[in-house]
Amino acid sequence: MTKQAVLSLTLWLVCLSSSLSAQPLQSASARVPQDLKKLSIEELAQIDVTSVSRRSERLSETAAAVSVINPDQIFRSGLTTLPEVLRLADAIDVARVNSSTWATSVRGFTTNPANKLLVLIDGRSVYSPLTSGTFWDTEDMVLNDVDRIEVIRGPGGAVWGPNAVNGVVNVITKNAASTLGDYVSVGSGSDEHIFAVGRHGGRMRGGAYRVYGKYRQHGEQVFTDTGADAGDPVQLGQAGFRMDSSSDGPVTWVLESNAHRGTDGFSDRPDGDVAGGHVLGRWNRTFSDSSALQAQFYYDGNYRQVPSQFTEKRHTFDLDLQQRLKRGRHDVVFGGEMRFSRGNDIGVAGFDFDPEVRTNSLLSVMAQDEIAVRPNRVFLTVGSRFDRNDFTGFEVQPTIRARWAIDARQTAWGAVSRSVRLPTRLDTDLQLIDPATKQVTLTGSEDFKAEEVVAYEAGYRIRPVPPLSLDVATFVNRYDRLRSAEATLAPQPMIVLENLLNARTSGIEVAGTAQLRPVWRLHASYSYLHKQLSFDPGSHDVFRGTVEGNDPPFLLSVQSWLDLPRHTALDALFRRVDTRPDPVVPAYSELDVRFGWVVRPRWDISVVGQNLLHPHHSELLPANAPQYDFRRGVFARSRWYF
Amino acid sequence: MVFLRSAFGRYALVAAIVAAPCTARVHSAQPSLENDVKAAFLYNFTNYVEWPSPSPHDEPFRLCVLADAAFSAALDRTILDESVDGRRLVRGVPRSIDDARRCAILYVGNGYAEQGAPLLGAVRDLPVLTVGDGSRFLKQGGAIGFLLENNRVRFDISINALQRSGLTASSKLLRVARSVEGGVQ
Repeated sequence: MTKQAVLSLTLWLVCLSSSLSAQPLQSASARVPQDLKKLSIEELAQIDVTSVSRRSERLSETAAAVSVINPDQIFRSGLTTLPEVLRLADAIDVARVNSSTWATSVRGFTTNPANKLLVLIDGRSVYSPLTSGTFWDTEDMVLNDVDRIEVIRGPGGAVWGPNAVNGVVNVITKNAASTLGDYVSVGSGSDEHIFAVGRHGGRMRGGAYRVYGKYRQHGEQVFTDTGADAGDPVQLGQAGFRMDSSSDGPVTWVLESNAHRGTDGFSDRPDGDVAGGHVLGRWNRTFSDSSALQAQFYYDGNYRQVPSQFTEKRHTFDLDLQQRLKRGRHDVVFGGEMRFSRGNDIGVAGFDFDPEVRTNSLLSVMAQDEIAVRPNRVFLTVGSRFDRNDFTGFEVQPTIRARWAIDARQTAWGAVSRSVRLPTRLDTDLQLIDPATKQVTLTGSEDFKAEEVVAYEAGYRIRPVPPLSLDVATFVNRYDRLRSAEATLAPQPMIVLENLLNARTSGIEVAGTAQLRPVWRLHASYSYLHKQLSFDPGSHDVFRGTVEGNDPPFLLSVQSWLDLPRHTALDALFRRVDTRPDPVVPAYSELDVRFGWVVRPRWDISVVGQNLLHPHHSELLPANAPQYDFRRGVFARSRWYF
Repeated sequence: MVFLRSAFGRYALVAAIVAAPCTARVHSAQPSLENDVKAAFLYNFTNYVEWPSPSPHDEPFRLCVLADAAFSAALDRTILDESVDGRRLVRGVPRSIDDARRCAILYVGNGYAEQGAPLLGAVRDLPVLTVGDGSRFLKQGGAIGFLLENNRVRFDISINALQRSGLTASSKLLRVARSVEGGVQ
């Protein structure tokens, strides 16, 4: 079980116990029992249906801005890669850079690499200790295995650890017991040349397993200025397994592993190579209704060769322990994490990491208490994480959150949190050397500090009538010690990476879902971001902070799911991205449409059109690199379950 | 800020238009705790009944309902944002026999027995859990029948109907049932 799932479970237990002890409410009229479903069937059979109700909180009610992407949404979107699938979350900025690279962030600071979003896949961090941010090309997966993706906007350092400055993406795959039988999916099209997935799942003594393989070949993009083919195709093959113990009994465990290998095309140099894999094990022991322990270990090994830049071999070991305890009104989680990551990073042609080999350690302890101040109504969460790292020493990431369940239909919440981004080798060890003069032109600093944010957030959710829900979140973030590129003249003219940039952002995010007809469901999200940069005295940032983020003021997305007769469906995803200021990327609207037909109960086919509104469009134009556009595309896909 | 206000205004307008038909439907229906408890039972049955073979996980888990608007509203409240084994739970309205065959659960509410009879017959041998109201429901071939006893919602189970559908009920479900017809064979 992931941290989030365990937290949810303990929250559930608290809700249940408090709901059972709650006094009957005076008026039944306004407070319909929303959460009877959380009772067991024995308890349901004991409810006097003529008396007023008991109620407890919804699982989804958390004191944070969260959106959850479910498997049905993923399938019906027709999207084929993990970073593209994130477009289904609310108020997220997903910008493609080329065939193998995406810049993804929430609440601003979208750049390549976008370093303020922490991504975890089944509890494993895929945040790069070399460059910060996520290498999305190798985080491909069998999307059919995804159970859900939680996208949490706002700092998550207190629970999830460093680098969750603006948000956390938590990808959770299905229990193997949910993927029994055989599954094959194949597709082909103009941009998605080939993708094929095979999976087999079965039961074993004491649990279930699945084994799978996937191959994907994606075509090249086009150059922004000429529209000519850019020569950057991508291919990746992977195979893996997951085993789950059966979920009854006090002890449960998960073991999963995956290996991948592929090539990334570039327009201006030979293909790059990627290869890697991981093993993850998780063990849960429940001692009683009020106490449970979780231990998780993973190893992640990666090889990445980027021509004319660097070759990296990295090994990461991570051990995480968490204990949950419930006492009266308190629901406490505490634990510790230990991570060692060893990178062998060999620069090429003036792109140097000094030293070449560096091992980084991270030692953390965390504690969090959710207090039912007024059982069932008002909750207060206080928590902090304390991290000891090699770069900046000791960091504290506290949070305080409050949630008020106004009634069965409305919730209000607020939070104040601090999170940090730890330096990576790009900030401390990088040296760019001019091959002609052998002079250093850019250098990181060994005393690079942690970037920090203090965030003030508030939100409100309402479900005025069952088929409609509305979610509003606002925030003010104050950033300090952000990375700046300082011009210096002594000992020679060059750029030094320092921490002299500050920023203040504020914004509002609104999302709503409506079931307009039994067969037609709509979801829309809108976000507005205001960003203001400032510099510490003495700063001479040569880029004036623009390389740290190129953010559109507003984002809009609309998803529509329509069931049609004869087992067909027509689904659409529309998005509007405002102008990015520097370098200017024009505002654009794009539309993906899927037509699906379930031919037989275990066989379906889809035809998907992607980016239908323009022949090609730009998403993020890097200033000093080749600029790519993304084409209109169409593909067909067929899936079989045996 | 003018920009923000006008954006909000537009959103509020859209929300109002969208809300109108839904509100009308819900207001015409009287909410009752009995409906909510039955809806919670339906949702809970998914944990205590095993369907024979896994269905495509991207296909929603269809909980089909022949019942009045009040019950439908109660069920919508219960299954909103919920899933079963990663499959989104949706309420379906079985308008035809073909529709009924795609359901995982088929619920026939009070006063809908006549409309429900042909559907019940059509899914007899399919892995569809049939649930209904009243003691006569099991005699019609249904698997689980709700009834009120001491102001409490209880249910009876027909083992024969379950077996015919290829469904397996957990021992806990059988234990909580008021009576089990067909017994252990």
